[in-house]
Amino acid sequence: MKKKGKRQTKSGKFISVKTKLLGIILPVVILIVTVLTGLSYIVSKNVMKENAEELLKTSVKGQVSDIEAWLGQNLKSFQTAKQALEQMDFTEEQLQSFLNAYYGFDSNFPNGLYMADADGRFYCAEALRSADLQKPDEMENRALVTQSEWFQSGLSRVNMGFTNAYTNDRGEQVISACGMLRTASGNVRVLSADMSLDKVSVYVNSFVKMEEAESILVNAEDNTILAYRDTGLISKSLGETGDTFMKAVGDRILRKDVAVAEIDGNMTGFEEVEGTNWVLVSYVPAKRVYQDLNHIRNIMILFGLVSILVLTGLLERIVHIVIHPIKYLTGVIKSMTDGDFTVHIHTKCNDEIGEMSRCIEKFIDTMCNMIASINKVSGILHGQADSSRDVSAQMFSASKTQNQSMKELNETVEQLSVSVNGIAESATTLATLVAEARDDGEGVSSKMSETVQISQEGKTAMQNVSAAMQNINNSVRKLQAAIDGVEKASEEITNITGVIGNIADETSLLSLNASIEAARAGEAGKGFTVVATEIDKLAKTSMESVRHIDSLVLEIKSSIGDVISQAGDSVDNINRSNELIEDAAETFDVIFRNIDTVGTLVQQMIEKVDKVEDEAGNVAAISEEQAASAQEIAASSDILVEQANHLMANSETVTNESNELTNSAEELSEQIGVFKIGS
Amino acid sequence: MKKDYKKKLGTVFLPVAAVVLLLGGCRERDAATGNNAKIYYAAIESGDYYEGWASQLQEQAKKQGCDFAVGYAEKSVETQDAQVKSAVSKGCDVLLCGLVSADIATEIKAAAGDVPIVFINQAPDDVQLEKDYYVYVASDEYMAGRYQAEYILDKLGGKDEINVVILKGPKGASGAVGRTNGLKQTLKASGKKINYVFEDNADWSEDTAREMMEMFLKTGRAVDCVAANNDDMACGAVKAFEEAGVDLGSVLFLGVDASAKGCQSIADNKMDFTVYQPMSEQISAAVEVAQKLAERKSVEGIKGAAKDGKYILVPFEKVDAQNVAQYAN
Repeated sequence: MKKKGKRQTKSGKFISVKTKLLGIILPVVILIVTVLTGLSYIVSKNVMKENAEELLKTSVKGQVSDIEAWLGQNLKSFQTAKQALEQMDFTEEQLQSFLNAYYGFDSNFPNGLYMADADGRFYCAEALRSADLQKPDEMENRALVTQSEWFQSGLSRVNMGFTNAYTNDRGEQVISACGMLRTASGNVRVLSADMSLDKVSVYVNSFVKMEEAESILVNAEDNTILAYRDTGLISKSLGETGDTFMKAVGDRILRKDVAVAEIDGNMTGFEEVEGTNWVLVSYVPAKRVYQDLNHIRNIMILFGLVSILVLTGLLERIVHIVIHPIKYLTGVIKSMTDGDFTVHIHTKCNDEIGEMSRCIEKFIDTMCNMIASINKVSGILHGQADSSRDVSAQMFSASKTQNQSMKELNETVEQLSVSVNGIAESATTLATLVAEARDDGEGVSSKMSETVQISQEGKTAMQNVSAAMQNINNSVRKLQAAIDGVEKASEEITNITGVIGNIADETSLLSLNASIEAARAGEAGKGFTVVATEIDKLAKTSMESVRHIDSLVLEIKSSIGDVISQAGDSVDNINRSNELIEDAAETFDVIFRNIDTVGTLVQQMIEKVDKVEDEAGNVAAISEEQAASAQEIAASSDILVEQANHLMANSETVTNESNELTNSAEELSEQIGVFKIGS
Repeated sequence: MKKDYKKKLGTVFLPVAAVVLLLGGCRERDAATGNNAKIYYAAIESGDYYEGWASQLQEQAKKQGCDFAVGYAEKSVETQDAQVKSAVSKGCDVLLCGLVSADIATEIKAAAGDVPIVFINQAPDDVQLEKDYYVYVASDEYMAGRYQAEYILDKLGGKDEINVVILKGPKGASGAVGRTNGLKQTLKASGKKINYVFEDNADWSEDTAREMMEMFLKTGRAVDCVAANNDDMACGAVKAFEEAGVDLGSVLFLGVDASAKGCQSIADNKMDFTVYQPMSEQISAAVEVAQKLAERKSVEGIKGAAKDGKYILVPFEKVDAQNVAQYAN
């Protein structure tokens, strides 16, 4: 998976093996086919060119040898005739008939042989002479003869040889075969025969052996054309023709560069004609030479294309067939990568791919088994993890409970310890208190005795008080009678003050009337008014004094009331006190008896307290021991609590881990679940 | 991937290379070491001339540690063919061959099979030669003609127009053609007006040359020099001129070969110039080339080897009155 991802990210996009293979092989194949075709073409071209050159060379050679043979044959004829002339030593008539016999004898030199000596005497066939209309002056004629091309040329050799091309005195383009005649007399004689250049042309052209090939016979000395298909150009120099090809040929001849070459689109061959200065130039249009080549090229291109197509198709098929199992395998591996191990591989291949398939099949089997066992194991693991988690949970809660219990225990123990301590303290306090109680008891006992004594004395005092009380009662009754007299007096006073008050009021009203009367009297009334006012004032002051006496009387009345009630009360109280004192005396007796009882009880209590003291001391000692023990217990239970804490923490960890284990087991089984292994 | 590619290429090229080697190996079969090469000389005929060649060749071959055998064909094509076949079957490594006729080169090559051939004495056609395999060892005929022309131009340099008589060997003979061409082309290149007042084949013959010159002299044409393809014809010309009472000093007589007669003539102040054809150099060159071919090596670097590897042209030496003494023996 990872690898695939990596490869994909690395190479960017997926390229199939087939594409790659074809991508490599096809260009190579195409290149090879192209190169092979190209090479074949080049080789063919070279071979064809060489062949063409060879053919041209051979053709030129053949032509030249034909021309040579033709020339040689003619030369031989001339040579034979010449030899005959040299050896027969003819008379004039015989010579004439000999020359006559050669006239029209051979179509190559229809005019036959002719001859001249150094003096310009000219001998030829009679037919030729008669055909010659011109009869120039004898002497002039002689001079012309000795200056003629053939005569001059003939002087330069003994064996018959050819002159350059020239126009003879009949206006014909000719070459002459000529040579000095050996004579018995020792006279210089030149024998000659004309050969028409047209004739040579016919021969040159008829010897052309290659298709479309043409030939030019050139005099290498001055580049004049001796023979050519276009007879109009004969005797002209190659340079004068105006043809670039001809000009180039001429240049080459001058340079003696006579190798086969392509000149101006013509494949050209040169060959010297032996025994002459002639060069035969044969040429064939290069197009013609390469015509077949083009054909071959087309065939080759076609062949190359067909080969490439066939090879491409073939290769595609082959690669397809070879790659097919790989494609299939790729599918299988892809499924495997996705976790599907239910795939099956059927292969009959006996190559690497087959081997690969078999290996993968084996691998799938192994993986299936492995995954199954992992699955199983993970199930078991899962169960175990679950139970482990349960157990650990239980343990945790147990330990938690235990912890709690321990804490409680600890607290209890502490409380116990405190209690025990309290007990010890209490016991100690108790002992002290008991001691004190005994002391107090003893004090009580003595105080009791004193109390009995005092109560005795109190009883006597009580009886004295009762007598006094009787006296007081009598006194009060006398006082009460006195007070009643006072009260009657005060009531009479009140009545008198009342009458005074009424008089004052009437006085005030009279004064007011007097004032009003006085006012009416005016000035005369004035003095009266003053008296009226003074009387009013006196009335009013009288009123106030009356009122004051009233209130005083009232106060005395209430005070006397009080005294009477108080005296009554006192009497009551004294009566009551008398009774109480009698009760008290009785009570004193009871107390007396009770104290006596108490005294004995206290004695008994003191005895008991002694006993309690002893017991309390014991209890304190025991309690102290108990306290010590309780502290030890507390310490131990502290350790226990600590351990319980550890235990709890551990069991919590165990729980967590077992939880994780469970999770892992679940995860494992989940992941394993991805793999499909069939049944 | 690249490795596979190489492998593939290898599998393609190995068989190809093997085939090429097998095919190419055919010729390599008999490659010998030059020191003990077996040389067979197929001579044209017996007689002083070719036996002289044979003895000198043998001497040279022995000097080089080579086996040497000779057969004389007595001008018979069949005999030469049989001799060559027999020599090849006896395991000779290289042939020295004086062709009875230039036309039988193909036949001899066929008879020789894989054995390389050094042609001497007789020039085969150019097309029959093959670089480093069928090689022609000869004197440079063209140079002989050129030396003649140079001598003429040297002596007659003052003239604008030179009248030349050429006496040639037999029609088509390689020596005659080469020497004549060398002469004519060098003269032409001088730019002077050259009149060939007489030009004929005297066929190496002194008498023919003499007769032709007698006839020529009757024409009364002017002549400045007589260039003959060999000394004999030059001597014949000298005689004709002597008889005609022409002052030999006014005419240059040139030959080729530096033959005893020619040298004597020069010493006698009749002939003026000849060219020495150093036979010993041809012989040592022939043996050297034979050794190279036996080893299937290139003739490149051998003195006188042409660029095309088909010719070994041994240079001539100029002989005139100044140095004729050292050639007259």
